[in-house]
Amino acid sequence: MKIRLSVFAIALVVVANALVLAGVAWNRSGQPVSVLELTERELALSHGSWSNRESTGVSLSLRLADQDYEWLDEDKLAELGFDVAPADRDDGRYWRGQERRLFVALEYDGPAFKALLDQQRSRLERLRSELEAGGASRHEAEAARSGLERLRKAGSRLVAVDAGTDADALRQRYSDPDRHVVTRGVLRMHAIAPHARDEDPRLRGRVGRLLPGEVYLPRRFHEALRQATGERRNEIDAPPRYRVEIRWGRGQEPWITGVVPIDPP
Amino acid sequence: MTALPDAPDSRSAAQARIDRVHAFREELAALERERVLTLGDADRQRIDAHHAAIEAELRERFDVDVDESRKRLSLGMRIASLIGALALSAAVFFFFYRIWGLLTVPLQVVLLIAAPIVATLLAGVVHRRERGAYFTSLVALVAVACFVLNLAVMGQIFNLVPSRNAFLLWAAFALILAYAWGLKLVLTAGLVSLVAWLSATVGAWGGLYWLSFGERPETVLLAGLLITLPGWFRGLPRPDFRNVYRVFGLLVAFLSVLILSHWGRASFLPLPVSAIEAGYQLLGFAGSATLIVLGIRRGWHKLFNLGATFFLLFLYTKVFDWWWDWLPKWLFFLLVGLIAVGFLLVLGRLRRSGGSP
Repeated sequence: MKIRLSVFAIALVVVANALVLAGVAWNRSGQPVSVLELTERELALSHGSWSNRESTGVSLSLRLADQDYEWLDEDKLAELGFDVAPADRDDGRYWRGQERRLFVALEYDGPAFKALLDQQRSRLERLRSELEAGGASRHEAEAARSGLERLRKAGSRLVAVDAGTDADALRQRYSDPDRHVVTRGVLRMHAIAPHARDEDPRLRGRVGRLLPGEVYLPRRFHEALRQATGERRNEIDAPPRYRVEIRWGRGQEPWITGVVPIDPP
Repeated sequence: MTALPDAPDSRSAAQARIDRVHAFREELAALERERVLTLGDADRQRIDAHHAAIEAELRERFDVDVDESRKRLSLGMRIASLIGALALSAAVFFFFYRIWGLLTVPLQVVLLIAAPIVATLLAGVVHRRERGAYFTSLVALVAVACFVLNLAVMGQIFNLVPSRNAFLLWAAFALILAYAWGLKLVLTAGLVSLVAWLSATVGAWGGLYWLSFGERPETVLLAGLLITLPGWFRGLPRPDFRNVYRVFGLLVAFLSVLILSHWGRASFLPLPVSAIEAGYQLLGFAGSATLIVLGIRRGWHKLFNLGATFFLLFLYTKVFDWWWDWLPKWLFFLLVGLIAVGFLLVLGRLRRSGGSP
């Protein structure tokens, strides 16, 4: 009896690992769904990579552009299954079910990123005119200028453009494999305080994190990354130092297939 | 040939029998000193021989402690086994993370799969060589840690989306090892994992992302109550595990009730926060009082202790809410002390009326 039970434990280890490896093989089989060539702007060295003496593993963090998610409004949140009606709580401003795991469509260096740049440029121009008219501070205008400069040179160009419960439907809508990726992510709903007292708070969503948010870098790419980075994380506004070819398979799981250093300008 | 026709089926039952034998010897010696009873030589020899046979058999089968000093040593060994298992598991984790970047992916995979299998085989070898469960428990817990490391790191290497089902696999693995060799420590590790899986599953049914289950303590409350279920049924394998299911499940459930009684906003219930908190406070008081009565009636010492601890916790948190801000500190602590005295008086009365704890 006892021998048989411990054999079951070993069998469980074997079966669980076989299922994991079969899932990995299935994800990577056939044509990849997306193949992107990202840079350090989108795939930064994750915290602890090389700097942590307790771990020799290296992974890269997927970074999304800093965006305001205009498209993820109350109607879209309701469509995605969020409970947008305030719960019957003492203060009347409490929402339940604020976090959901869904599919997210990402666009790399496309119209959505250009729109972000245009938005930042317009803001800078508006602040400059307000500064001349005495309505804005020099500090605000300078912050907007450096923000635009950072976005143009070093910010992530990976923009979340849509979300849904059906990965295939999103893939059909965002079908350019060199520009679009459909992946999993955790979406969070939050309330934005109203400008006036008699207004209700507005609901807005955002992508809290991508799943997976970090991509493991196999040992064969360490040397190229080491050459490019000297094992140090980049400055926040410095240009990228390496390119990474990354693929997403049919199970929405990514893997890295190449790392190339970028020659400094 | 066995000295025990109705042999105990667990170590705790065997230890209880040995304790009764010792109590009998001490009482018999006292009765003889007080000249109330004197056994004849033949009867004494027959009883001594029978008890010696029982001790020998139970020591052989269950490694029971035949005197107080051995009991204390056993407790020390159990603590050392727990600390050793935790430290060795941490060593395995840190060692792997220290070297994994130096290895190719196939080698990483082979090591990750081999580690829990080798540790399980080693635990089997150790179990065959020792009568107690100290070293087996230690090695089996390391095997569980290796399986946790195995699936967690495979997820990292292949960039998999975290799944709550990993907790179910870890729980199943730990429970199999616990039942194979009668290891309560490993059973507890398995139950921790099972609570995480049940809570995450209940939370996912309620629309939560599974990793956020901690934001809704009711998911953990339900998981704790479900965990207690095997503890109430007789006839299941390993009867000495029943107490672990009951105590662990209720500990988890009461902790959730304690949190909800002060954090009603986290509840799924569509009620005002104040009503939810008041409801959970009442549930906490009623539940812990029931546990005290049940512990006394059935002689379940650990459940009694759990009930008494939580009753006092609920009481003191309530007292703090009511009086901390507006009573002078000396009066507040005087009241806390008087409540403790009142609690002692009530328990003393229960004790005099026949309760065993």
